Amino acid sequence: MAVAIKRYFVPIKGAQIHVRRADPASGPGPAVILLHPSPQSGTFSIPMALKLAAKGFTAIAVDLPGYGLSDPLVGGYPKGLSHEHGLDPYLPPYVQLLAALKIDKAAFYGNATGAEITHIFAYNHPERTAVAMLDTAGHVSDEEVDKITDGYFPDTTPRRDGGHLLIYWDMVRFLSIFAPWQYTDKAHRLPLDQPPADKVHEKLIEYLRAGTNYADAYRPAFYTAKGPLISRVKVPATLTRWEGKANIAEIDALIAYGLPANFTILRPGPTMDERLDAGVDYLVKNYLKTGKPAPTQPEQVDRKSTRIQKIWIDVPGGQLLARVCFAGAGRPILGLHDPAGSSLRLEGILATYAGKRPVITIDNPNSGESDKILKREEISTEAYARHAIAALDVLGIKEVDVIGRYSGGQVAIEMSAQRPTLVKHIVNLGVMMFTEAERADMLKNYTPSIAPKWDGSHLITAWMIMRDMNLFWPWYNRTKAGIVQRNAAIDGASVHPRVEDLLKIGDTYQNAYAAAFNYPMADKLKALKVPYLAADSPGSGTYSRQAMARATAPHIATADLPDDASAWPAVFDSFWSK
Amino acid sequence: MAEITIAKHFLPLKNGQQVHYRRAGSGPPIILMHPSPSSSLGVVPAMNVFAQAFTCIGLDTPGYGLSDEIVSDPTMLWGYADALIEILDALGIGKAIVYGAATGAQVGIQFARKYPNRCRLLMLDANGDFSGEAGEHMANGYFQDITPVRDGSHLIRIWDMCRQLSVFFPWQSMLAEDRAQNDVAPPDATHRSVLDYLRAGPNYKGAYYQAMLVETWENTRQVTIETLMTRNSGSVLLKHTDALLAKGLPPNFTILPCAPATRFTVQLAALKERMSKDALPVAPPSPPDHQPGQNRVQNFYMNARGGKLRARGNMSGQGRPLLALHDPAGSSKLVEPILAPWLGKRPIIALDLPGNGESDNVIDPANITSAAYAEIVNEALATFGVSEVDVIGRYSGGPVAMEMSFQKPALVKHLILAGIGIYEGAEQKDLLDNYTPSISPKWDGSHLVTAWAVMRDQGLFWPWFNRTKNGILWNDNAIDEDMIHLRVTEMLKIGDQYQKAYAAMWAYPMRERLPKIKAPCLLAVPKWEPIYAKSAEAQKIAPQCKLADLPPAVKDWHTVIEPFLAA
Repeated sequence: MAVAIKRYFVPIKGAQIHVRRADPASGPGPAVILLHPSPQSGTFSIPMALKLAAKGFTAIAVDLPGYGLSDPLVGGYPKGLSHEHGLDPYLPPYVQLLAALKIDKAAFYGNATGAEITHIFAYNHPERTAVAMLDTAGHVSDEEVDKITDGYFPDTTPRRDGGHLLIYWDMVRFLSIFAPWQYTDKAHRLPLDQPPADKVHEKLIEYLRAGTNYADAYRPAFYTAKGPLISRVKVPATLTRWEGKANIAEIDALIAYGLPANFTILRPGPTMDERLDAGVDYLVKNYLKTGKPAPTQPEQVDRKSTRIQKIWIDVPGGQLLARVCFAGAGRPILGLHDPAGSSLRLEGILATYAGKRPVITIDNPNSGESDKILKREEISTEAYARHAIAALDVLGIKEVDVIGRYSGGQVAIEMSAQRPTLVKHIVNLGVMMFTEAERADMLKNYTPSIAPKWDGSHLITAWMIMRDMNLFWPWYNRTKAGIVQRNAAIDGASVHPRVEDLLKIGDTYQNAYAAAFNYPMADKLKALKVPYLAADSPGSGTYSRQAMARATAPHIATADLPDDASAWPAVFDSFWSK
Repeated sequence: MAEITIAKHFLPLKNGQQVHYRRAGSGPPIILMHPSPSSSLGVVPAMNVFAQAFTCIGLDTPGYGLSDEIVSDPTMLWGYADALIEILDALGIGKAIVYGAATGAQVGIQFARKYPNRCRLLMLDANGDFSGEAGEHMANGYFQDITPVRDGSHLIRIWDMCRQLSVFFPWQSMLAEDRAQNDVAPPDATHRSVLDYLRAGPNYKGAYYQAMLVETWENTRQVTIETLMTRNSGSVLLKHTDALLAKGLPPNFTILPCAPATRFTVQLAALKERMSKDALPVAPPSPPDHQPGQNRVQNFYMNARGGKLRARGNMSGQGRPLLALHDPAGSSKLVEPILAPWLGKRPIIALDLPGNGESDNVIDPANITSAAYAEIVNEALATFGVSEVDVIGRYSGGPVAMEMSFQKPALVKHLILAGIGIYEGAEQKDLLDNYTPSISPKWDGSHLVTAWAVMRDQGLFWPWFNRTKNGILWNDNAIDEDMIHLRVTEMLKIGDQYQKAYAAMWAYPMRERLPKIKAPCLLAVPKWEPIYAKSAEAQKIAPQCKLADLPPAVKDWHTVIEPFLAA
């Protein structure tokens, strides 16, 4: 049986850590914790995890707090730490993670920032470290690091014009042109073919996940790459001197510095397989027989917490990400997002119910962080509904009231058709209902390609589409007739999360929107038996749809939403109390 | 109605500085001053109407358009009034009608207050009252930093400013009450505004901001001369105009109510009516474009095909002029540094080819070839009175220089071809297919990102689209943002015509034409050029040409070129 990787959240104090776990086909083996470079995530460690699992280890690739899908450090990264202690704030989350996983002691294998955290952790917690393996570590003076980091971490605060996305693109793209990326002299040029645009884009998405605090662990990790700090490690340790490394001189400087006898230098050849196999071989010889098998994965969420937490739900074909809060009583509320959105678009609305009623909001397949389970042409309202029902079944939920944004309302209608007992009320925020002419127009114009381009200009296109959605209806009708007459949320902080969602689904949003445009809303509303509320803000581009829906299906309810979203639950409550 | 001809001029001022203006019509003089941060192009619609009865002088405000920044302290709007006196003196105009729109209106108010005896009549358009909270709301975030940055995002910031001007006023607002009830300007128009910002540069704030600060009822009402103030019912500023009117203006103010469609005709009628009572002397003819004696590079126009080609140079010094011709997407600005060492020693001319830089696009778009460029340059030189010239051609400027010498052997005495090559077969096809993606204005401004990335990658790879290990250019300081910004600015001015300009270079029959060179010719490139080897390849076909390496820095090229010219 092929080794499979599954994703889990692990609750720690006040936060969740995200991991990818690969177990051997024969069942759990000794745990190897994999730590990634900044500002990436556990996806980096997947090739190593697969190799380890194939040899009998349980590989657990951890997203560093604040990166990937792990929550940031509780309270934020503290200010005023010395270089030596710059990574110390990351130690408690790892101790808590091991405790939550019921692993007393594990091998740690880290790359770059991950290697830095590995040696700092091994020094501070030898009782929990079976082996400390450093892949990509070095010895660099503070003066040299000052030069490297000068300009290395530009401000990426979202700008109203989207220009911050070009800063990200520039950073990511130039990582394969110069080292450090911001240098421009030939001595620092990298002799590499440039990766294709979609690879640059994938890496950029990792930066977006880390957000404006992407330098939190990244910057201090430069300063802990020091012989004196690394050589404090007393447990068995390795240093990988990989021939394929671009700046191997830093590793050689560490070797030349002199490491204690508990360190083994691994010297793999230039290929990636050789690099990873060197680490695996070492672990097979030195850890496989002595390490205790890892226990099974614990529950992903703290069911008593009133925070909204993340959870992976296994459905046929892959995993869906959901945000949930199981505390509270009564019928759960399910949030369903719009075609280019994610569960984050519902989180604010559902947060007001957290602790009072159970709430769940799901990333549709292929949207947000959910697996790309569907082929593009398989995307349909029916398929979204099927997956949402499958997710609720896993959670053991028999009845829900649904809040659906735009197409989320259509998915709710379809869910009630597929399983009539499940959906008790539907609140549809913004009705997607069109005349034939509008439908044709939107299918043609609403979703231009945002596929990665070599110059990064697709980012600006994505930004401007999302921004213009606040200014015009439809967004591409930039005439006087298209003006949305309301205050516009076009500041960087408002637009950025929506663009991030859009970039995650990518051009598949064309299919997601097409499914919504093509959904026979009028017929479905007419036949709908479930209480349905069409709610929208007067002045929004879609407001007139509410009257259209009412004219078609007089039995539905409608409501005007105030501009202040915090007042919306009162509107919803009066609807589902009827 | 007779067709109005608008001519572009430079006006020489003290120390060799120049302002740029457009002139049309005849009769009493009216000075027109544009909104920020555009140029006299912004008052062309008014000129087209007013020229029926007046000599219209549409100025590029100092520091904007093609005008030098002649105001010593651009943080004081008075300075622009002082500059206007210097300009009137240089034009030989004693007293004029002054028309100003937006920023131009505020400069006009300052001028009328400080120099009432030089201002026969003040006409205000797009002015209002920004005092108190309205002014703070307006200025807060209005002026963004547009200093070039390595990732090119300053261009998107400019795009945002220009584009949103037709969405909100002030542009940075997000409030429903500030929403402009208009169609959004089409991408071409927004792009033209972007070019205005690029011409004004990071100091675009100068008069723009100062005008906003003084745009108050208190300042406006202190004008004592006769003033015609426009109330345009379609103006984005109407709210502020009405705020000014509500406070009350003195009796020397006459309000001209109009709508966008009637604006200029209402204004013209009022002007004519005033002039029928008390006419001004007719404006004298324009003085020459430049003063050769000044020790600095100046602008001047050369005439060809009924249009103007912008040149930068200086005609002082001894001997034959030295002409520099730029690359396909460039302009005189890119080759001016080559000529700088000869300034004052011999005449130098860096020319914007038609369609490039600030030159009129007088080339037939269906026939853009090196020979076609050469014909136009030769005509311009003849019109300008140049009978002999040495020519430095950078990249595509090389084939143009060659064709100039073939067409007029007596004209071209020396050729310096700096970066020519033979492009044939697969390489030629690759370049024709890939070198020049479209940079035409798109609705989202993303064409600016493409233009930036193309130009930046030209410093990193050869050809720039070969982003493999083999394509790497091993140069230092590969991506200097100021240089990229200059090149992108010039590239955006020619726009997609750069595709044809490049194609003319790639497709030039170099192998067939090289042996025909009769004039003394130097093939010279610096060693860092990716096409360094191509000059030697060319010399094998044209052994009559000399071959030389140029020093790495352009400022030093004269050390190789001068001995060649002297030999």
